[in-house]
Amino acid sequence: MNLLKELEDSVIEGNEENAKKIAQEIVNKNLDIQDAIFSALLSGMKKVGELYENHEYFIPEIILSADALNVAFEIFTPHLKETKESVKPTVVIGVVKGDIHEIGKNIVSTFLSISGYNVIDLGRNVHSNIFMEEIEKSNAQILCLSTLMSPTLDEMRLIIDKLKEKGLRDKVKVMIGGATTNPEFKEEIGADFYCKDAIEAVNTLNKYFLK
Amino acid sequence: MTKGNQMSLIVEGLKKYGISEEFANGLIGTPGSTVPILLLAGGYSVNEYFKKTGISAKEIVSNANHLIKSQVDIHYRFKVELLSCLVDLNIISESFGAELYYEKEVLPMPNKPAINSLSDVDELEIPDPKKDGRMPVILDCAKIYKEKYSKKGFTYSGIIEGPLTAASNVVGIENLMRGMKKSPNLVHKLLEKVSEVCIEFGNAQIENGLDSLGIAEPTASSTVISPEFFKEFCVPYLKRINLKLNTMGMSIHICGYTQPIIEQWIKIPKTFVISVDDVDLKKAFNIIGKKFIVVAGNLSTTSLLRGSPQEVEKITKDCLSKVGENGKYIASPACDLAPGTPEKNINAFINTCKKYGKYPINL
Repeated sequence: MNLLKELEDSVIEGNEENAKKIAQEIVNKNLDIQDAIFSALLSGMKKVGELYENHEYFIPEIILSADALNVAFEIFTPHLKETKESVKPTVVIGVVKGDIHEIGKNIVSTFLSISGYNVIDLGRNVHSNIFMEEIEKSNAQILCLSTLMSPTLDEMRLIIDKLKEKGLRDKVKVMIGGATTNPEFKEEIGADFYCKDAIEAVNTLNKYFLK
Repeated sequence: MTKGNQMSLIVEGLKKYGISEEFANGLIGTPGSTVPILLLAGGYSVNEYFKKTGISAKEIVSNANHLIKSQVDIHYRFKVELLSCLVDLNIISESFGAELYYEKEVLPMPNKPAINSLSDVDELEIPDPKKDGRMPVILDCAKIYKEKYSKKGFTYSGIIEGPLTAASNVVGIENLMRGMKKSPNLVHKLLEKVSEVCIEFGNAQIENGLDSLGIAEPTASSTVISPEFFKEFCVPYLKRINLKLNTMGMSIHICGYTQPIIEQWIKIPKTFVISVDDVDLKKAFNIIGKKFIVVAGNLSTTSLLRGSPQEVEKITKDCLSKVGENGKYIASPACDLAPGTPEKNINAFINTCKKYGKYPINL
């Protein structure tokens, strides 16, 4: 079987061991790493996302698939060539203060990393001041905010207000996501993008920053 | 036995739980009665109490007098009968040694699990509800309720976190999810330990004077795990816990998407109320059929937090329109009310229930 297809299947099946073995084989055979990332890792994870949407996959399956993806990506990382892809902008990402649900954010963070973005992941329950400090320090162009819960939605609004106060709003594109967010809420708080999943997050940023 | 006789027997039975005749009639849809209301308001109550008194959430949830006062205040403010003392869902995991993150205004959140790996499950010592963590605080709440409030016209239901939810905070949710696929035996081992505490803790609350008891088990929803995993990792433990708790009937709350597990859920012995979030109410009633199991919930907490009173009225009417002539419905938010939910929205929900929720409901 084609190695890329095998790698994609390993991600879909959440088979970490196979993913590791095949990724190593791809490296040994000097195959195109970027192609492997997009045609196997990201496309595999996209199918995992579809399976979740259809209630065929659940969080345990997603975590195993993400584990398989991560192990393959670790093997690929030292072999990534400096290309146009790898000078993509810096992204600061985190789950807003008051919320500790970070499985979704972790997947977005991984997707952005393997797509070549320079990702600074601040974790969960992140205070708005920490976001501000990190944006100023890193000169990030993108801020990704996540929350699963409704009580913490207003924290996103607060962060956007703080960006304005500090004169950073024009320098940073703000993307929001998480179960309780939606396009209407994005409009309401004046964020730039709403994305329903990690694939959409990557596609949206690629479209905007690589045009 | 005639239907009328049957109904009055049910009402008499329900009254033994401290439930008023009016509430009991509402549960079975007696013509002229009104749909009963439940405010799941644990987190909301703590936040309101903080705003009123300046006492931090940490102090409130660590002190039985403050905690029960925070809950009672809300039930007096909104004049609803059923008081459900849902605090945070970290009580059992904290007693196992998990660390929490405390904010000043809201309920604590899990910060660090008690063990970092399922392989450490043998190291876990079974906590004692009378001594460990905040379990004694919750036990004191039941005692205070019995002494001070039990004759004041409401029914007090205690809550324990379900075995999967407690386990997810003992070992960390990602580790638990991974373990279900890779080391199911260790997950079962952990669930055995956690279930033991659920039983001891639940029974100790009942002993101290609760009217009824509920289990909150959000980790079991089909938003998180498959119906097959629900069957393997949750049902056997909920079954055991329910059977060993010294109560006649239990309410079980599972938020998130739960349509695919309703059939299994209602077969868990002693399940009396299923508190739901994302389900098709009509389908849920169809699955329940003639069983005497009550459905609660389904009202979006996001709409309650962010919508207008008009929107709240609309979604409340939508829920009520799906209730059949036999009742078996408690109007309730789909999950714990978010802190900061506007009072006008809570009132819109309650007033809509009173206005349109009279049996037979015709919407």
